[in-house]
This record gives sequence, structure tokens and C-alpha cells, in this order.
Amino acid sequence: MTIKNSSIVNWKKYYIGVVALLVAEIVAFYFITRQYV
Amino acid sequence: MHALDWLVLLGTLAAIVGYGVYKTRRKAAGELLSGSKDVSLWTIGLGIMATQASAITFLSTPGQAYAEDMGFIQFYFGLPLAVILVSAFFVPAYRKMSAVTAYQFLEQRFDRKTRLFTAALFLMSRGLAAGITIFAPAIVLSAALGLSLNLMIIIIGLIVVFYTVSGGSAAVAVTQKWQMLTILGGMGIAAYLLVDKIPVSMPEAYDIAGRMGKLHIINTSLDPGTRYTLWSGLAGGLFLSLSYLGTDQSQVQRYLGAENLSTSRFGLLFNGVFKVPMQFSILIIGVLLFVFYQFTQPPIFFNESEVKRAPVEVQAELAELQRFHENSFAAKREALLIGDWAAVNAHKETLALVREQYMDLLEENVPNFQRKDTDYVFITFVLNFLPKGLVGLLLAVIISAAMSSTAGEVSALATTTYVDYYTVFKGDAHNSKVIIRWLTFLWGIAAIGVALAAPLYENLIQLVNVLGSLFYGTILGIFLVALFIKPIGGKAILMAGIVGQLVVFFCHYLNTVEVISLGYLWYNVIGSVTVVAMALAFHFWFRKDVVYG
Repeated sequence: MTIKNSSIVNWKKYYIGVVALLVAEIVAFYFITRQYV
Repeated sequence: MHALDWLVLLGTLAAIVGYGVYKTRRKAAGELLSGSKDVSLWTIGLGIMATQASAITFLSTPGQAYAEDMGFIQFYFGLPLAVILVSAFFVPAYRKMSAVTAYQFLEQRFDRKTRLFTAALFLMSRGLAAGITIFAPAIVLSAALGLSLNLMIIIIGLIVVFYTVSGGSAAVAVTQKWQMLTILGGMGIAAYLLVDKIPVSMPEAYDIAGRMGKLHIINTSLDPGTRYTLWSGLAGGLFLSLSYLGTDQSQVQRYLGAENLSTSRFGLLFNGVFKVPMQFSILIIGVLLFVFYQFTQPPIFFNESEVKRAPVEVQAELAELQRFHENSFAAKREALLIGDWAAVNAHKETLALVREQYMDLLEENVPNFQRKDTDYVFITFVLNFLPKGLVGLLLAVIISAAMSSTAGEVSALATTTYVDYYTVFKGDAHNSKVIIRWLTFLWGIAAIGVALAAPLYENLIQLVNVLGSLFYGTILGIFLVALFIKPIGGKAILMAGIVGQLVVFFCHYLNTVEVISLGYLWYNVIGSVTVVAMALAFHFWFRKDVVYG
């Protein structure tokens, strides 16, 4: 899979997605940790 | 090891190396340096991850979760954020000037001295690190397989040299995809078999792991001496990953090998999305191993080669401790099955005490005894509990990981030496292909040399563990100034780089003599911030001289 033109890609959308995934992971890990403290 | 395992092990390695050599035959010199510019998103993404994932990742990480908890995952929290910054700022800057190495950009932005200084920091740190990426798995594999350590180092090293010399960066790129898929497949099979061997249901296994402290993932402590916390992971991890992904040629080479900016960016984002889940899965294997060993008697000490070195006169005492350990373990197992947690915890403490006594006895009687056995937890399971054939596959996974990270580094070292030193002083060579191959060969041999010398210097291994963090902060500081603070010139940045590096060395010295207690991830923050601050200070100082001088 290769994408030819960088300018037509909405990179901001992808960056927000990556940050959102990280936040979701940290929140999930936090609740797993809290369960057994 | 069974003949079938040897067949699978050698067959898998031969297939990967053969594929790399076949796919990259008759390459031009430029492709040896930066790849063939036609590799896909999957090749770039998996290649970036394969270079990062050294064999010790797969040996150590499960052991870490087994012995402590899952807190190590926090180390990777800065990586997705770094991926975004590298994708948005570093990659376009490199691609705009058609750079082959990251350091070329510094000459255009500052001057030649800054380029040579930064490339030298990279060559020093990665030159030593390449040796350790061979040494660390070789020591575990040689102990587990009963082969000589030097022989193991030479075998892994020569395979890497062979295909990296023959195909350069292009061979590294095409083989890494398959190495990474072999690694993921092998680890997936190991996890499945582990689950199959645990005699309780998964919710029960989860509850056991949680009650025994293995599901501690997030640590919000503000103590800077605690190595892995949410804050050191986000801040230190961000700076470390930013430096590694944005300025380390072994990573830059992977994404500059893409045909266009989009493919480079998607390759990086791929890494940002999958890195944390991948490390989490490897840590989960460690937690599953822990639960498995609650129902199956584990060895008191996982590095059996160290136990074998114990003199005959302590064998009876060791056997006595072993019997006591087995009895306590059986009692704990019974308590666990009926859910008597008070008894479980009491037996757990007894078992920990017996283990301490066992290790103390070995330490007193075995010269240069290595107490740390967490690297042997996963490999011991593989060798003792996996069916024939799969043992060979899992060993191929570990050796593949050693090969992929070492090959990525050796190839990047050769590229940097050629582009940033050879061509700068001697110009483009008409026989560049031969020179690049020779440089790759020499860096490969140097890595094997470092690996062979490593056991002679006990502190070297410790040093190399923090080596990345010792240099990365300074290198990143230089690149941050280059990209974001336009007025600063070459003289100010070079002096700031030297001061930044000295400050990091001084912090490390204070840490070593225990004047301060600082997790090594913070070196990345200190180095970068010092370089940026000093560059600004020198810039205004020199400007004042011009105005008033």
C-alpha cells in the first residue's frame, strides 16, 4: 500500500487518532492498576 | 535440542537471509545506502519496529513482568507522541533536501563542524550498542543451549555481516518485514500454548495475577529515582523516542527508504499505533508465565548454567534448599486452588526467602556469580515446555530479532561513515559500492569485536544500557534548534552541544557515585534542554559581542 500525494492526506486527523489511542490505553491501564491496589 | 528444532531453526534463518540476498542482488550504490525507494508502508512500518525490537526485548521483557510487574510499559508512552513530531517536522525537512543521512541536514542548516560532531556522537554510541545487541542475546542463548558464548556471538555476527554486506540497507529493509512477522507469529504461538497449559480459566488467571501484584501498570509517583513512572515515560520517553526516531540513522534510514513523504509518514504512524500494544502483549506473556509457574514448579534460579558452576561441597546444601522450596511450592499451590489467600501470601514469602538463601549460597561459592536471572525466564519455558519444532521456531525468533536490530545498526553506521565522513573529505568515490560494502563489513566485525570483549568489562554492559540516553539528549537538542530556532548559527550550536554532552556526563557521574538518584530516561530531557538553553545563551552572547565588540 503506497499513497502518492501527501498534500491530500489530512494528517491532523491521523495525529489526533494516535494521541486518542494513547490516552485510551493509559486510562485503561490506570483502571486495571486501580483494581488491585 | 531435538533434530527437528535444529531443522526449523536453521531453515527459518536460511530462508530469511536467502530472501534478503536474492531480493537485493545487483543493487546500485545509492540503494545500498538508503534502500530502493520502492518499499511499501508495511515494509517501512515493520522495519522500524524490527530495528527497535532487539532480541533482548523478547528475552528480558517477559522476565521483567514475571519478576516485577507491568510498569515497564510506561517507558513506551512517549513514543506515539514522538512519532507525530517526527512525522510532522523531521521527515519533511529531510525529504526536502533529499538527505540520505540525518546529519547532512545539519550541514545545510548550520555548518560542517556541527554535522561531523553529531555524526561522531552517533557513531560512538551506536558502534558500541551494535556489539551489545549481539552480545546480550548470545549470552542467554549460549547458556540455554549449552554452546560456547564466543561461538554464539560469531555465528549471529557473521550471519548479519553476510547479508548486510551483500544487500546493504535494501537487504535490511526487505528481510526485516519477514523477521518481524516471524517474531510476531512465534510469540503469538508461545502465548497460545502458555494459555493452554494454565489449569485455571482466564478470568481466574487474571485475578491471581492481580492479587499477586503483577497488574500494576501505571505508577504516578513523582520520585525521580523511580525508573518507570507515568511522568518519566511520557517526558523522558518522548525525548528518547524523538531522538531515536528523528535523529538515529538506523531509524531515519528506514523511513527515508520510502518512495514518498506519505509512505514515510504512514510507516512511522504504524509504529506509533502498534508499539504500545506490542510491548503490552510481550509483558502479558510474562504475566501468563507467572500464573503458569504458580501451578507448575519453577526452578529456584532460572539460569541453570550458573547453578552448574557450583562446587560439589555445596551441592548437598543446594539440594536441601531445593527440597524445601518444592514442599513450600506444593503447599502454596494447594492454598491457591482453594482460594486461601492468607496461606498463599505466607508461602509466597517463604519461597522468596528460600530463593534469596539459594542465591546467597551460590554467590558465596561461584566466582563472578550473576544474580539476575529474569532474562532466562522465557527461554527456560520455551526449552522445557514447548513441543518439538516450536522450540526451533522460537529460537529463530530470538536470533531474528538480534539479526534485524544489529543489521539495521551496522548498515546505518556504514551509511553515516560513507556519507558524512568519506564523501565530505574525499568526495564521491567512483567505486562507492565497494567502499560501502567494506565499511559495512568493518562495522560488522567491530560489533562482533565489542561483543567478544564485553564479558571482560563488567561495567561496559551497564554503560551500554544507558548509552543511548547519554548521547541522545545532546543530539536531539541540536536537531530541535536546527528545526525550530532559526536565528541560531553553527558556532553557538556546536558549543552548546559540547556543554550539553558534558552536563549529561556529569549527571551520570553523580548518579554513579550515588550523590543523586536519577532514572536514566531523564538524561534525555536534561541533554536536550541544556543544548537548547545554552544555544540561546551563546547566540545572544555572540550577538552582543558583534554589537558592542
